[in-house]
Amino acid sequence: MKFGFRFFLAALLCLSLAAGAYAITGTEIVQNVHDRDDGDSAASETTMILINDKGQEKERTIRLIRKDYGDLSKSMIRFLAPADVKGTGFLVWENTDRDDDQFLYLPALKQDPRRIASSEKNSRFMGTEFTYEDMENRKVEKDTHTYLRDEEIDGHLCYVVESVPKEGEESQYGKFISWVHPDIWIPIRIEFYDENMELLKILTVSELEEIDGIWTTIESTMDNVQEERKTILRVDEIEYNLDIPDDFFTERYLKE
Amino acid sequence: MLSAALLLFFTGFVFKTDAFSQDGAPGSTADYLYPSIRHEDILAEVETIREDLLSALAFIDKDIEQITTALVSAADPEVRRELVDELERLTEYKTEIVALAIAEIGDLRVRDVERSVERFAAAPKPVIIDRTLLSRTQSSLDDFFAPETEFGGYIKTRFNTDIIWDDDREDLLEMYPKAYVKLRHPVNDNLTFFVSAYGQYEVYTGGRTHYDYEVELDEAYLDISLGSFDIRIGNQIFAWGRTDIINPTDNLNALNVSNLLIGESDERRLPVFAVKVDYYLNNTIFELALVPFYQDHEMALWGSDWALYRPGVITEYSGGYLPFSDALDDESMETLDWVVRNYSSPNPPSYSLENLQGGIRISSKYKGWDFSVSYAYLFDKIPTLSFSDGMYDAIENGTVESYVSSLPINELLESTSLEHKRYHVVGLDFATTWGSYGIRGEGAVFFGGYTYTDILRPIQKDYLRYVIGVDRIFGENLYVNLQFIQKIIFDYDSDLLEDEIQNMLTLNINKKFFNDKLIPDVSISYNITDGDFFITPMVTYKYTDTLEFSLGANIYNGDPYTIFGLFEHNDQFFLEIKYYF
Repeated sequence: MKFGFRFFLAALLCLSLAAGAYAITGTEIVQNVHDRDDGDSAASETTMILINDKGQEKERTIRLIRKDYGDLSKSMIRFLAPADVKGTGFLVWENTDRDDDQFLYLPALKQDPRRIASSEKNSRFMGTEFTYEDMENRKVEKDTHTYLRDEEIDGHLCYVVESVPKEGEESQYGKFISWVHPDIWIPIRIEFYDENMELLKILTVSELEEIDGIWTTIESTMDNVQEERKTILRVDEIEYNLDIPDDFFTERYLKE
Repeated sequence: MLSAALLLFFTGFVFKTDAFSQDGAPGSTADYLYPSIRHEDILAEVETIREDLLSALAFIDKDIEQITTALVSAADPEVRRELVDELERLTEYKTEIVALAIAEIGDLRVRDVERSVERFAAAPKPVIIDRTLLSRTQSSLDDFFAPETEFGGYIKTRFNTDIIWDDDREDLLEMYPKAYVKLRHPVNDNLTFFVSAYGQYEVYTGGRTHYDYEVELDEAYLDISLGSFDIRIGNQIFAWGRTDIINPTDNLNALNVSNLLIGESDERRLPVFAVKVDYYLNNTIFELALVPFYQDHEMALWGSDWALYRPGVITEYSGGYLPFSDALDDESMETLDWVVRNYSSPNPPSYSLENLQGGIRISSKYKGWDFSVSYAYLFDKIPTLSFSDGMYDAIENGTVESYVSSLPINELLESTSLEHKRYHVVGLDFATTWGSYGIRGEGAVFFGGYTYTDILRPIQKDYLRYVIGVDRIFGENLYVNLQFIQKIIFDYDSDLLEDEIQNMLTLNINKKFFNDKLIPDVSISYNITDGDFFITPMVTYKYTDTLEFSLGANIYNGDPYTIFGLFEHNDQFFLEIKYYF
């Protein structure tokens, strides 16, 4: 009896050591994605191509600047084209103690930038398939993350993680499933499910490049499978770790 | 017996102890039999081991149960000893086979993880393009965002047609082609100039045919940036306030009154020559505005259905200079109209230091709130009308017509006066969000404003005008904006023409369809006090990003002396084509 019990305990010990050495959790995967190096600041010009269910295209060009302040960041988007939206600006200040501050500037009105309410975050940003929520830097602890399996996509083996918003956490999605590249910690595919757990949108990364030592999504597509529309984002130019003055994230610069 | 019971208890305890869960966190021992396995073939092996184990345990548990039952009823000590030995043997065997199964499954789990590691190591890596060499050697934000010359504008044509042509003198069709251009050019890092101009052609046809055109400089200013200061000098537009369309604190610019109801929001304000200085201190902006030259509202006196003096106005109501003029009889009003039109004209304030207008505004943000306080000292852009004492006596006595006909021309000229009065305005505005709602408010107290008594005598009365608004997007993009506007006259007298409290509601609803190509929109302004209203339903179709068509109607309803009832005969359909470049 004593021999059998000791053997049982030894088996348990070996198993726990093996599990501890190699296991990774869904939360750890998402945390790695959140923590990956994306520069302390960035400035880019991006082209957005909006394609409707009839295949008709609209193109927008935006300029985006971002600066990190510890765990938080501020970002500013300005539309450069087409002519009917040129000059429109969007400013975001992340907060920890309340909803992020979001401001929209419409040049035609000439008024001060307009504060946007939180419910508007599930509406589409400037007609694209990206909602204001999609553009937020979603905090890891807002969702429950489960490591589902490994799966290969386009020759890249990825961790597949399911994320479900926790009760009380506001989201337009019932869940989303991410395919995360383990070397660079970038999701190269994300499936977004609506509140009825029906597949709503798919984000696919089609081109990645390492720029100044930072892995960058160069081209991605957000496909709305329910509405049969999609938006393609293509980064035309990007610079990291520029010395961006804090002034650039104020009303003053937004109105210029 | 006791040792067997303890062994049974401990085995059960270990099976239920929190050790490791499937996702790497501590869970129950039974989870060792259900580990997270990524590869199908290894998972099949684990399942086989587990099924065999559970089957064997079921047989053993059955035997243990039978022995336990026999032990309870056995009286012979020798039999009892044999049964206990058998019980111990079975329990020990059970522990051994469980440990062996767990060890085998553990080996399979290690093999599963090792295979995953091998696959990751063997997986093709993304192509690396190192742009370090390609990036600029001395990147700076200015290199990335070098100021650029911007040129743009729009060309549009608007067609209006009366819904009901109920007067031969009315315009049946109006057409307004317009071209607007703007240019922003950075001279250097601190200096930028901006200039805009437009050319517009007006055609009215119907009761009469009228053509007019204008080519005007619109905004034209220099922006000078000096550290925390921004200075803007030239023809410019101020847009104080945070509510929509109706802004009690926004009084620095004259307005294109003709466009107040039918024009676009960016065409309402007229640029005014001014010097503006902004000082930025963290999230606070101190703004000083100096307006040296007075500018009138732009109003059409006659010539169109939107003019102050338009067909039918004399026989029905008197027009903008004499609001709420249902207090007098038709003959008196007709006579006074004739006198005002022919023998008076407003004298704009002369260019002098004492006629300088201006204001200050302080804006800031704090924990989700945006707010501003402001003060301005301005001329009223609508002149105050006053008559001579003799004329007021005639008005009171109902003898206006005979009194006017008795006056020589020089006295007629002195019988009326149109003067721009000065007033102070102190304002406050705010904006915040509350859950799903945007909340905005704006209010201003006007010190030195004028209104009229029932004999059209001007009287100074301070008043408050404020707006409270809320908006929200429902679903994906159904936008709803609701505002309540109120004007309160302080120290009210019962003989005033205006009501002490006047209330209005505005509502705007729009939604985007078909990838934002089709946008139906409806705006409603409802004057609660007098019951008149103005509705504009319209639909905009964006054929391309830069070409759009708008089709809609402007509908006015109310008594003739009311704000919207004044234009009741101007109900119209409109079509606008606009091209952006």
